[in-house]
Amino acid sequence: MADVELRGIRKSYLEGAVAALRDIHLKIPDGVFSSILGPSGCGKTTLLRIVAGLERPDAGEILIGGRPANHIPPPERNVAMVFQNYALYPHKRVYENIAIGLRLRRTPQERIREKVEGVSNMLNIETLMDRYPKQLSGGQQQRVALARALVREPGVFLLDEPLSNLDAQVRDATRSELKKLFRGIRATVLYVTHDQTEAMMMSDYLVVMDGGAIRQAGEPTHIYADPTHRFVAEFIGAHRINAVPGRLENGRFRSADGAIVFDTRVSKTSNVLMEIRPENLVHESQEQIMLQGEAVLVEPMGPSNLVSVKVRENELKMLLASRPILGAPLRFSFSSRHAFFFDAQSGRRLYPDLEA
Amino acid sequence: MKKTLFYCVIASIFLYCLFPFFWAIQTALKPAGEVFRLPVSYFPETISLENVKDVFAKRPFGRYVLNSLITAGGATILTIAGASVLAFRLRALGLRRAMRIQRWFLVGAILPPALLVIPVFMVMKQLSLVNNYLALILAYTALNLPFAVWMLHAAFRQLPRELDEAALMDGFSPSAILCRIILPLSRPSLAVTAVLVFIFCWNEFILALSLMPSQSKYTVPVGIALLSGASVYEIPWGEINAAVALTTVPVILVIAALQRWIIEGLTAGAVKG
Repeated sequence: MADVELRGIRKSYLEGAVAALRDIHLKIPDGVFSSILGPSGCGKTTLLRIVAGLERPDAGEILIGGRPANHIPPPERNVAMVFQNYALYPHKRVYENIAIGLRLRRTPQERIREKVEGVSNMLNIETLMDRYPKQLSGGQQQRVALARALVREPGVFLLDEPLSNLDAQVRDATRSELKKLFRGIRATVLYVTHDQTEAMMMSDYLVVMDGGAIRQAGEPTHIYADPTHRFVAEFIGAHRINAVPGRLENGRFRSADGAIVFDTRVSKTSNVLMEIRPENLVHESQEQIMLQGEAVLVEPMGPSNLVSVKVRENELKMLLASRPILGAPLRFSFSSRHAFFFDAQSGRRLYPDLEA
Repeated sequence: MKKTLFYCVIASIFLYCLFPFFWAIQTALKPAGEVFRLPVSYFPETISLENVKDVFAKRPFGRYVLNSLITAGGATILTIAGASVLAFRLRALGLRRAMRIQRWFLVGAILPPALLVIPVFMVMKQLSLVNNYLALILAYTALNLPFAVWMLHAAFRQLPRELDEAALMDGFSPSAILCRIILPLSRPSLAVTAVLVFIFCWNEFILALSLMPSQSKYTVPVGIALLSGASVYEIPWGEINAAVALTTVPVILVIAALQRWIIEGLTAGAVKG
């Protein structure tokens, strides 16, 4: 296994007109499952392709296992990639698809057989060896693509949205399996996805990207609890975070419509967005900041309901176990420590004062 | 009702296209006397293989067929090989840049071969290739490359780029990617392109006439056109038609051999990854 380090990676397309990556610094320790998360076009796939060697950075250094890799051709980089559309060879049987990488590396026939069998047992595809890729289901093709990467025993696995072509049910099952699998072999993984649920659930280390830059990187739970940028707060989380425009002045937040006012420990004066997660809004008055609104929309989700509550000009979403009556007044509350403040201009987080 | 009309239209087009063949074959099978008889007989009263025999016995028709097979076959192989490499490189450039280059290929394809006869002849003369098979093979290859590149590039573009990238990461060299991944997956298009190139070369007349002036190097179309009778006033219609009918045989054989792939190539446009 190997670690991956990127130092000042830059990449632009169309003679510099479109910047895909701006000064990326990143270190993925050995054996860590890391996700690169971001909306489409944020540069996450480009980043992966640069690590793979399928693309050259305009500037910056790639280190794989501590070794500079910029000039090492892809097959010698000690990395294996699983492509979004699997990219299996349609004219070769499953066995050949998995074995061919080893064959090209002049592995002895016996070793190849052993390794392919080992990997296919691990992935439960040993009965599919004589089939052609188009005779397989999406989930099976995906396993074959994984097997093709695993059999090479690379130092780093690069996975480009491997679950996005699967049905929802297969996806859930595969997600858990992948996590178990890669944890089991203590592999270094770079996993690219636009699905924040996937990234949260699978990774030890999460890298949130936006517009070709890293917005925040760290443990998923830490990023969820402590986003440093408005983009991260809004991108991470099962339900989109509520955002209320307003102003911070003298340690007091006042929403633009004047309906939500409370004291904070943030002393900066600025136009801000106050953001709070739906799961942090609670029914009735258990917390210190109380609000009243009117239920305008109920989206049942089984165990709970996602309820939109209109508070003067803002609509806040919250999770409720019970199903409120539409139009009825609804009292709810939240704690000020769950409220994040982001500068309206820069989107940067405004933190509470340290000594307070 | 609509269906009947549809089939009537199809049948008439079919008849219209096939009538020359029918005429050639039935004339070929008539004995010399019947060919010129009036009123015209549409079906030979007596079937005779006299003309077919004469074409081979009295004329070096077998030689012509061999010459045609060598030039058309050689040119087809060379064209497909060259076009594969070019199309593969074009594909690697990405669509925008590839199209910019391909537009110029199209200009080459637009030029009628007759226009090129004199310059090509002069070049071949300089190279001392006149009457050499290589002259025709090279000329045909040059003429067909734009079309073949166009066809193959269109076919290669259907294959996902990730396929090449996966192959690259597996350790394939670029030439191995072309030969072991791209070409096997493009067999239908290769077959269609090869057949069309072969037919073009097989039928080509003006270049064959000018680059191969000695009779031992005539290709089939040239040989047929220059079949002459005992005097200038006698045209050996029976033999000419026998030769024409025979000429189509190799083309039909080639198409039959590649039929499976041709149909695949014409119906299924894409190969899914």
